[in-house]
Amino acid sequence: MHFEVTGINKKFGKKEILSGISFNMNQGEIVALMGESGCGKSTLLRIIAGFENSDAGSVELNGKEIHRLVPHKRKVGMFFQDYALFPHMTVFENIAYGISSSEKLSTKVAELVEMCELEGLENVYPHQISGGQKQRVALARALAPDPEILLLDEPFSNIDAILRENLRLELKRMLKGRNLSVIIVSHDIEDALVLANKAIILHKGGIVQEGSIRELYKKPKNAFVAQFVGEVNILEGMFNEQGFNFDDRLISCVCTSQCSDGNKLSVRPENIELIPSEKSSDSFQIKQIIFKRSYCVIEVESKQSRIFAHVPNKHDWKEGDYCQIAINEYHILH
Amino acid sequence: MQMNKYLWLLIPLVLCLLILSPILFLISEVKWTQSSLIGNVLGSELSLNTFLLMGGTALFAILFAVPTAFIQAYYSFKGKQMFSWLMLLPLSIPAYIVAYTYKGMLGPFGTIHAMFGFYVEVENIFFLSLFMASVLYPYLFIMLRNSLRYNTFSLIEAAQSLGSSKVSALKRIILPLSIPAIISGLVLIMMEVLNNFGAVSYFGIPTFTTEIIRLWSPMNSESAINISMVLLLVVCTIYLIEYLLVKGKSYATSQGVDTEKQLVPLTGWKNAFAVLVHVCPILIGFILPFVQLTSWASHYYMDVFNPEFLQLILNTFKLALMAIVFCLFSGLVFSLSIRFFPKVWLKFISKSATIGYALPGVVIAIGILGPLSFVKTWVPDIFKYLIYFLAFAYVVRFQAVSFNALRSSLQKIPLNLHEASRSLARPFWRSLWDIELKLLKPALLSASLLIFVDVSKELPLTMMFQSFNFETLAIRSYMLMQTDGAVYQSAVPSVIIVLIGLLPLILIHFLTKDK
Repeated sequence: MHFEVTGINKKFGKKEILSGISFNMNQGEIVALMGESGCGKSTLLRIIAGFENSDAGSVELNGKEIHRLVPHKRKVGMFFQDYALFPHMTVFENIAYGISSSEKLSTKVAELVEMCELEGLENVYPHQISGGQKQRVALARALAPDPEILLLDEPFSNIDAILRENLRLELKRMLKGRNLSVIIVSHDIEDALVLANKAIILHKGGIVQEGSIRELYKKPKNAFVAQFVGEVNILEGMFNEQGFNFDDRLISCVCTSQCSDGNKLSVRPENIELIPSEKSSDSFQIKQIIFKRSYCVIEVESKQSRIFAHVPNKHDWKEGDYCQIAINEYHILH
Repeated sequence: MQMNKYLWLLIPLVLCLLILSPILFLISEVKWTQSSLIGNVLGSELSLNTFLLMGGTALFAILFAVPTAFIQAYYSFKGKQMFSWLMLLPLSIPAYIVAYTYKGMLGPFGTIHAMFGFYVEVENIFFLSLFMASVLYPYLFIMLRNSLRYNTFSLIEAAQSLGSSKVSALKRIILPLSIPAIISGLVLIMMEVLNNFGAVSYFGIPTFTTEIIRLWSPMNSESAINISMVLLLVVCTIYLIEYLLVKGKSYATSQGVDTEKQLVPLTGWKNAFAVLVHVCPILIGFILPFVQLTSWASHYYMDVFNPEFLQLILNTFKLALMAIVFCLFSGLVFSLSIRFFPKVWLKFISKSATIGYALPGVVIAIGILGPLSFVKTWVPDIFKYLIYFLAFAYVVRFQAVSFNALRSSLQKIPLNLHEASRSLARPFWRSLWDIELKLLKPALLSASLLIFVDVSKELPLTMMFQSFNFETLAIRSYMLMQTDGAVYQSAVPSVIIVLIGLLPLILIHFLTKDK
């Protein structure tokens, strides 16, 4: 299976929603389409599914142009944000709906019911089951016609935070065995972290970066990607031979010419090292400490911008303590 | 799909033009140079009678509906739930039947005369207003009660916390908030009065409607068209006044309707008073006339039940069935077009096509019969097919019933259910059948029921198309009222009409009970 999207453009009225979107994916790949609300990711998904027409570009599946095909002929499955379960049909009827062969119907539904752990719920209606069960029915239904590619539109947006983590793992388990190509639309980076091999970041209608999540986290192309995939401190100051001059104080950072051009330093909070010190001209005072179970978030006072560091709990920091900041060159984001 | 798209856009446009054609015809017939004619009609006895009747009915309706709606919204008392439903029962009795029943009860040689030796002269505007209000007040009651439910106690409590007494809070906060509902309810009632033919004609009070029917003839339609135009003008003026009074005052409050816990419980004489306030309108608007009608019908049903009477019922069903099929078809076309192609102009034409519900039946009838009398010159047999034109007239008049029911139900069916079906390899038409039409079943049934009731009760419009040996229950009921020696026999078709009218109320009762 090879899937390719080339040069997709879409405008609503005069507003450009998508511009020159191109990417491709292979069998078994799980791609997360990420971006802020309104960046066009759901529109792109609807164009792939055939519910929306693009102004330009093409969508190809196994070398065959499916762009002008009506939705029901595309072999593209869709999992809807609010599940879109048919309220007048039972769980069994919902799952069976997309199966065309009447001979295989019962076996197929039974297999999906087992896979999605829905045994005993076959004859109940969607309003009688829980949110998690609805999600599993929606997935079973989307998988039933054996789509070539499955689209998941914000699969966890209707679930509360505590359940979400478990359901991500459950979904991963269900998708894993099927070697299916999947596109997940989400604005939550956690979805991509748990489920996807590859992420595509959309911003203002265009793709800003694509690659593995690790790559996006470690080497973001710009400040938007850096901030989207995780927390980041962006400090304005000046590099010199001893380190980075910020807020009239020195941050210890040995830096080669590669990172010393420019007057900005971007670093993830977990890569900031705090060294206990006495009050001095280069020391920073700890403003507040937030306990986060396995680590602490420490906010360091500064006149310019807020600096956050994630530090292990083993050091017993107190608010009002003084420290110096050190950053390894390797962790500076370019 | 591309061809489908054009069909989805073209068919509603054609349908809208067809449905609006009677009104467009009337507008085209206006002789703008004869503006004195409007003045003459407006200054005549017809206008005076019509306006007095509208005003009187509105006043009595306020008397029946406002106190009951306030009690329902703010107090709890024994039997409240039951009364909330019973208050709607008078809707099942058409105004001409209630007028006829009361004349038979209170008038000379009537029931009261026979029992107590005196009678009341009821054939005047005062009593007719009272009788009409007794069956029309539910419109105001429903609108006001629903509006008060949303203006919850928190507003009264907020006013009290700011130093107002409860009475002052009701006067300064709740009453102004309820004005749009009161005005809209009264406008509905006045439209029904304007549309009425049977009651005014039975009481011998000439109004616009009686005059249009009296003057109408296919050979000379000009006078009837002129009065229809004035009637149309009055309707437009009323809507304009409503718009100006209600404009910007339909405040939406974010509070919920869960006010049951805050209701003030009534006990002792206060409870009895609340019950009495509810019993009076129900007694006048339903119990007394229905008991009287059933009593007459039980004496005379043998004289009326014959094959000819069964034919009447069959005619009524046939007409209603035609109206239901056409109305549901056009309602589906409009509401589904908007669903799949939510364009502003499509919403506008769909809404425009429902305007007939606000127009008196006679105006619609003239709008259809007028052009037919022109066409007759070329197609002499055209009046043989009048029943189909009558069904079309019902579509013009009751299009709103089907469109509103289907549109509001479709809005509750998420579009992604259809998309889910498409993504599961089902074509468009199959998805439409599996999802929209199956989920619309309750709305289709209730719209059919409402149209059926409306068609069974409808009198003025049907009267205008009547001269062709095709009677309905309503026509027979009215004809028997007018026939000396057969007055009480009219109770038989009347009771059947009332029983048909009760069907949607019973349905509502069971639906709310299930909830």
